Amino acid sequence: MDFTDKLEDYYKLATENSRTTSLLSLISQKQERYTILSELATGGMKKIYRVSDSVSGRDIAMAVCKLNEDSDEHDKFISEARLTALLQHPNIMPVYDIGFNENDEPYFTMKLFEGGTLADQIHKNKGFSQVTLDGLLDYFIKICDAISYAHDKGVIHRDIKPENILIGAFGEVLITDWGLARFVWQNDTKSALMDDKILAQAYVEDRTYDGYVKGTPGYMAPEQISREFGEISEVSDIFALGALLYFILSRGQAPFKGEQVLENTLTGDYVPLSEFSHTLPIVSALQAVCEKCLSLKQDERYNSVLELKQEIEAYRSGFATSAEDAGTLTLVKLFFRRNQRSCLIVAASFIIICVVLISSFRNIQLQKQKAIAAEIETRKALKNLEEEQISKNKLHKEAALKYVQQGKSDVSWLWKEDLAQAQFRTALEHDDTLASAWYELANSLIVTQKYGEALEALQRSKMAPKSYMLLVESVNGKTFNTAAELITFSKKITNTEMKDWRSLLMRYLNYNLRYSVKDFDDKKVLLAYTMQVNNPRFDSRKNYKFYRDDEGTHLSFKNNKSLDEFRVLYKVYIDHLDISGSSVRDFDFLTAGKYKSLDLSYTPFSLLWVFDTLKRVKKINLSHTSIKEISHLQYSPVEELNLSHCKMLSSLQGLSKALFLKKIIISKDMTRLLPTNPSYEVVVIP
Amino acid sequence: MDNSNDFTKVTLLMRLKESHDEKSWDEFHIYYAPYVRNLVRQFKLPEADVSDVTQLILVRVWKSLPTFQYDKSKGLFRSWLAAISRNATINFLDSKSSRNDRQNIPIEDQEYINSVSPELEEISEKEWRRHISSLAWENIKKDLSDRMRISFTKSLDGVDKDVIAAELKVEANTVQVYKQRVANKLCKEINRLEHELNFIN
Repeated sequence: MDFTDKLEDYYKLATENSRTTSLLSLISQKQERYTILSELATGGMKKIYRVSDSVSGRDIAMAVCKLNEDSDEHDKFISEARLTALLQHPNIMPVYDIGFNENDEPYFTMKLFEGGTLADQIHKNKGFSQVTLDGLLDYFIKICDAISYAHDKGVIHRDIKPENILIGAFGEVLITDWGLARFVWQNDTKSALMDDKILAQAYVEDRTYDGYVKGTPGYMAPEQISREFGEISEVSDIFALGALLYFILSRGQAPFKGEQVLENTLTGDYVPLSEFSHTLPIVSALQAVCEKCLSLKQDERYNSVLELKQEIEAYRSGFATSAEDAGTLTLVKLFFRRNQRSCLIVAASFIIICVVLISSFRNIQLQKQKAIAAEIETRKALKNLEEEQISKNKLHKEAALKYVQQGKSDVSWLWKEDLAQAQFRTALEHDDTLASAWYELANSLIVTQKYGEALEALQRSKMAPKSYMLLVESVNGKTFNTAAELITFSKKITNTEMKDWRSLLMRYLNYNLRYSVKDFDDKKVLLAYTMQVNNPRFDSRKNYKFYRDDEGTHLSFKNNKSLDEFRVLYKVYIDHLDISGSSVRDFDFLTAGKYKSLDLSYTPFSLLWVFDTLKRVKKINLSHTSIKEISHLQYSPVEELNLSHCKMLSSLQGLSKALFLKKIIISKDMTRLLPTNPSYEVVVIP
Repeated sequence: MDNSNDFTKVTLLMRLKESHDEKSWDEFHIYYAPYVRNLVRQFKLPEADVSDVTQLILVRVWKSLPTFQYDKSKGLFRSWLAAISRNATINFLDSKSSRNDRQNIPIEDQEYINSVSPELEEISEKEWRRHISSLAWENIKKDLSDRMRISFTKSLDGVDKDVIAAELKVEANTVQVYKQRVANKLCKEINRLEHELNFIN
């Protein structure tokens, strides 16, 4: 027993012990748990990657600290990760894992978020569609919830801004980037999180990465710039929330910006929201809430995020906000708005009394008005519903378009109608309103002679010219098996207003030449017609032969110079093809053909790889072509090969490996290329 | 290959199937050629023919790799590779023995593949085990310290552990520990290779 035999024993041991490739063994390999797939973003100190997690089998996001090996910086990075990890709230970015990678850089992993930021949403970037004010306030309330939770845990964010609010395609809202967050000392309710010693150390010292201005100009509170305005505390976040609300109400403007941004923040100098009112419906109640948040003095702002949130909710259910400082008229107005239904009933009753007293005329008018009002309400509701639906359908629409593309390339490159039809149908499962999918499906169904189904698809597509639809309707339920019928129908297609009839016809004739016509004489007629339609100069009486004998079918275009479009012959069953000396320039159509013999002599043929796909070819004539090498022929079943006068051919190497080769024909000048003892017969011609 | 890579979602084999280019061909050759060659040798051909037939098989397998589908009932990639190797070798022998009466049985023919004899299945399995374990050994060998490597190889060669200990100037127990550690590494690498070279889905 040698060493290899003994090693082999370990194979058994290894595979028995570990239940090969079981999930268990997959998880027990801790190294390289994450595989980086792509880079998502780069910041000053970290890079975010999309990684695949081999343990859970899902894709997640990974933030890697990119600062030098300064352990202080690493500490801070890990602190951010641990702080975020401890905040467990549905609207705060969840952190899954923290560790060091193979380069000893600290990393943390988190939820992979696919969507965009609140800024993207408002500017309608990244495929976001417009959202109503109500929808935006929904987001805002969720943000308030999350910040309120963090404050309760003794954490302030300090960098709330639209870019740090992530919005998903299905309305998920996540607050991210807690890199500036810190603990606030609360004597009475010491946060439970402060038990974490590492965190406590890092945050009590108020260490943050940059050390200078902590926050984002435009959104941060004046006290974050100058301590004259007080200590940084929860109300600093409330200021930033006010700035965020400003951004929402003004549809994309930061309250402070430009060169003077810091100065303006310190003086509280921002464009009042009412200035936007000529283009946007600015609600005075919300404007007041926003202004209260943006107060320079801390004690003039809301005391807590909860209070702020309650104000927004009060507005939404039709009560006056405290910030608005509402007068009697506003209160009455709001009372009516809240109790619209009751008020209307009272009003209606009153008018009924009037009817009794005066006339029934006014009653009718009121009914009419009510009906109109109701209709407007319903339309509004429908419109909101529609908008929601649109954003949900976005993904399906994109998928549908991709399937249509795929299907189109299946027919244009591979001539696979069945496959293409499946693609178009999948597209329609995603989006059954996609006109192009219905149209392409219809065309493919016509090619395969399923006229009834095609007609339905054409009707759904709404893209088809009427004359084309009428033609398809007229053949509904029929199947053509003879050349005469197929040609009649083809001619009719060319007479409709269908724009792309040329390529459709090519597919139609190719498909039916291959699958529908069985009779050889019929095939003959159809092939001649097909060649004629695609090659205007083609004349079936000149340099064209198509016949059948004991050896099978023969098709010859010897010396035919009128051939331009030859793709129609793709996969058409022919045993012996002769295109020698013809004007064929594109040889792709040969791919995967079932030819037994091929005469390509006197053509510019050089597409040697097609021989990899020709599994039946026994005889090939490549005489007078400009081929340079023949290595692709070594695994071909070819038995007889004519290589005479291939001037560019510099070697016959490879032919010795062609197992079935019996005979080659070469010209006199090529004898020097012969090996000393060829395993095949060699015929030398002048 | 570097043995720090661990089980991956996309195995080497799947990667080869996807990126069907010259570079992948080289890799394919490195990992599978020794195995195929050993299978072909079972037929007692002259060594020159062994090389030719091995090459022929690898090229054919390579060409049909993009369409290979993993099918539980028909076994792993290895079984498929073994079946093709066997059929191609038999074809080759037939064509050599009677040049006038050549028959070409398509090697990808599933029916034909399923008729592999149990005896051949046993041989091909054994050859696979040898192939994978030697590959694994080659992979881990270079990362071992001299003491670990010697402890392992000599133990396998049947040298008494006290003798090895004396030669390496360590305790006999240490030799035992070294051997076990190498064995663990080896097992891990065998499992990894088995996964990388055999799994496709």
